[in-house]
Amino acid sequence: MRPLTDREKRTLRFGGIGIGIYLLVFGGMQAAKFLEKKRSDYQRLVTEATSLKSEIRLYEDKAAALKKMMEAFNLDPARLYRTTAVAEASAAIQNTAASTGVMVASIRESPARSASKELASIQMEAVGPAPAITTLLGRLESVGFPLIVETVQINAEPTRPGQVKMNLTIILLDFDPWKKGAVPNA
Amino acid sequence: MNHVQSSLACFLEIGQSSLRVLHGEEGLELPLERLPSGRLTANCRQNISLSLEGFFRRKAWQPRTRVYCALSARGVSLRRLSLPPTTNENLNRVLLLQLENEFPVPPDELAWGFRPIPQSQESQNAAPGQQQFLVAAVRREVVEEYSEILTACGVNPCFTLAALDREAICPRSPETYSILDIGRQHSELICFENGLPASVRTLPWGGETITHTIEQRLGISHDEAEKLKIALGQPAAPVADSTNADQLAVEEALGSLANLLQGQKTGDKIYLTGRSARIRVVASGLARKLASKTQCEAIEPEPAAGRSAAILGLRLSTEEGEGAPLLVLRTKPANGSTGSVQRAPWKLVGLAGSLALVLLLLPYAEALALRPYLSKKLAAIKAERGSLALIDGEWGFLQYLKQNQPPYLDALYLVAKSAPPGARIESLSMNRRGDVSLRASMQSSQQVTEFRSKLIDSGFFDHVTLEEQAPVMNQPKLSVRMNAQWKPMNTRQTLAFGPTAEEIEKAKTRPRNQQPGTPPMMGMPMPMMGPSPGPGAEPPRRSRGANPPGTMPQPGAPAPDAAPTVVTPPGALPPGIVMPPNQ
Repeated sequence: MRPLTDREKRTLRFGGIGIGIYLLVFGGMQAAKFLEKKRSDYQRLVTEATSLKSEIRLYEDKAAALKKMMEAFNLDPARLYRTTAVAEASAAIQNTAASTGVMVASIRESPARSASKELASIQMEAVGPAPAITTLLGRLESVGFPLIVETVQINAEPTRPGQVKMNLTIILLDFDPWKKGAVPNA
Repeated sequence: MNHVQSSLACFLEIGQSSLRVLHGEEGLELPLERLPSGRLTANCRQNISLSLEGFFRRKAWQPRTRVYCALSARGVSLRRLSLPPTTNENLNRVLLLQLENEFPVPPDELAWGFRPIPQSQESQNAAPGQQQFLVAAVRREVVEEYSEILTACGVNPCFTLAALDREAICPRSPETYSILDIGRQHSELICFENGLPASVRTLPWGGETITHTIEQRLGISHDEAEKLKIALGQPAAPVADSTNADQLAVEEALGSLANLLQGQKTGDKIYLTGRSARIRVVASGLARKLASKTQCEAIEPEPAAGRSAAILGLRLSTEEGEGAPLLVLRTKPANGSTGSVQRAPWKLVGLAGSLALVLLLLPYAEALALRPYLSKKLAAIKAERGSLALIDGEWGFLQYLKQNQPPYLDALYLVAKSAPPGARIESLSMNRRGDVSLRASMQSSQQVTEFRSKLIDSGFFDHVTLEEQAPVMNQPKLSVRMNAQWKPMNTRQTLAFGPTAEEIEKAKTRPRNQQPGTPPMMGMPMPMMGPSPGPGAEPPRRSRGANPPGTMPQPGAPAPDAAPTVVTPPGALPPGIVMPPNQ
């Protein structure tokens, strides 16, 4: 092979330098674009994580308050089953009445208004001493079911001295509408 | 040279018998011991290395100091070369070819340097179109010996010729002149023609010759002669006197110097440098001894450590650019350029570049390294985000439940507390919307009014309406029917009612068979309720089966949280129930 002259060597050297600069510039630009895209994606994720963090922080306080309320009502709404809730609530009311010394005379269950997100309505007639009656009235909110006493009627029982008769209309709330995010009208 | 470079530079002169170095204002002078071949003795090399290392005191992080070294003229050849026009790339090659022709030693064994001669100073016999260069060369081992010593001391040497460097401090009035540097044993003579160096010689005459002549003429010892010579060089020395014996001895010594200068093209003027040039009679005596009308002038600077004519001239050339450009002697081909001999600190440059690159890439590296982890974690959090909706649902549900709990016990407590003695409540009905309706019998209208007033004053009720008040047939009683409406929750929650601490204490000490707070005829206990809870307040905490506040615990009642096990038959009282006394 013929040895290269100085001029040819110089031309080759300049050509090599030019190609090197070309590759460096355009390869560098491609690499910079790739890295910048990765970086912007990462920044977006960081922003998203920050907003999510602040959102979750609000729920921490709410969850703590919710836990206290669940303990106070002795109630876990997530464990309520629509099909058995009425029967279980009725049994719980009777058990509470018995434990407080109130005699349950009659109980009538009827489906409640669906528009009010109520599951059932329970009408109960009970007889017992006045302290027991008030005790039952106080314990109804913590029997483990979402109960609201709609009406209370207390009458003296002439046939049984020392005892009073109480008629209660109790509403069992339905949790399902809250699960779907709806709010009842009532 | 700019100030930054010169502030790092150091100047050094390597003579035949001494080495002088100047760094800033600090100077050092070391004696040199040489072998007959002119090379330094091993002991001398070691001493020089130790002394210079201590003098430079270079820190590891500092760049190498550039040291300009002025070499003595011994063994140096000076030539003017005429070259055909050529490119800078080829200049070195052409010069090498010329060196092969001009010098008896191959160029590989030489340390050489060159500088172009300006066209205005080119000699008239130069061929037209050719460029002239001033080339200086010395044996390579001479330079390498000094270079090894200085490099080991952590400095970066750059070699020039001391004879050329002295030119910078000359007034340079005539076109042809010469500079004679009087050393201890030898003197260096460089002749300039048309402002350009023409030749450089080493003469076997020095300050020691003057001392020896004084010693012989005055018959004193060598040391005394040396002291006498030094005294003649002091500013307070007597003026020239032809009758003074020691001055006559100096002039006698100058005669031998004048003989040596005969035949040299010293030009119109000889500038004298060196310590011995400070002797007053030297310049004038030499001028008298020379046959021609050559003038002599001493230009030796004030004696100080590390200062000499060559060093000061070198400093002037590098710092202020005075005189001709430096002629740098190289041991390797310089590719035609007279550029810097100090290597760039490529390691530091590379390190700085790497750090800059790392700094630039750090944000990207963070994105590349942490993005998968962050994506995974975000996906997990989003998957669990559904539980937030459940929390919302449960929260709303329990809030609704709490806000819709009617205050029946509060209303009962207020009615029982407000009832006058002897009153009998026949019936009481309430609903969630706050409607309260009661039917009672009282002994007088005054009691009815008081009862109503108490209910209103409690603040619990919005209004209390007396629907009917009628006397009971054949009895001293009044039959009363009242309606009331309790206030909305947001108004009620500001109220504070309930049994006081005194009432609670009284209830505890009261006999057990008497129902505290029980209204007559009904036996209703006083509910011991606290302030009504607001919408944001928590409901009273009671476990399942626990007594509500204000209710009396029943003797024999099952413990809280215990499942009821006793089933009472219809019509029968549950076990443990105490019947109140018949009314």
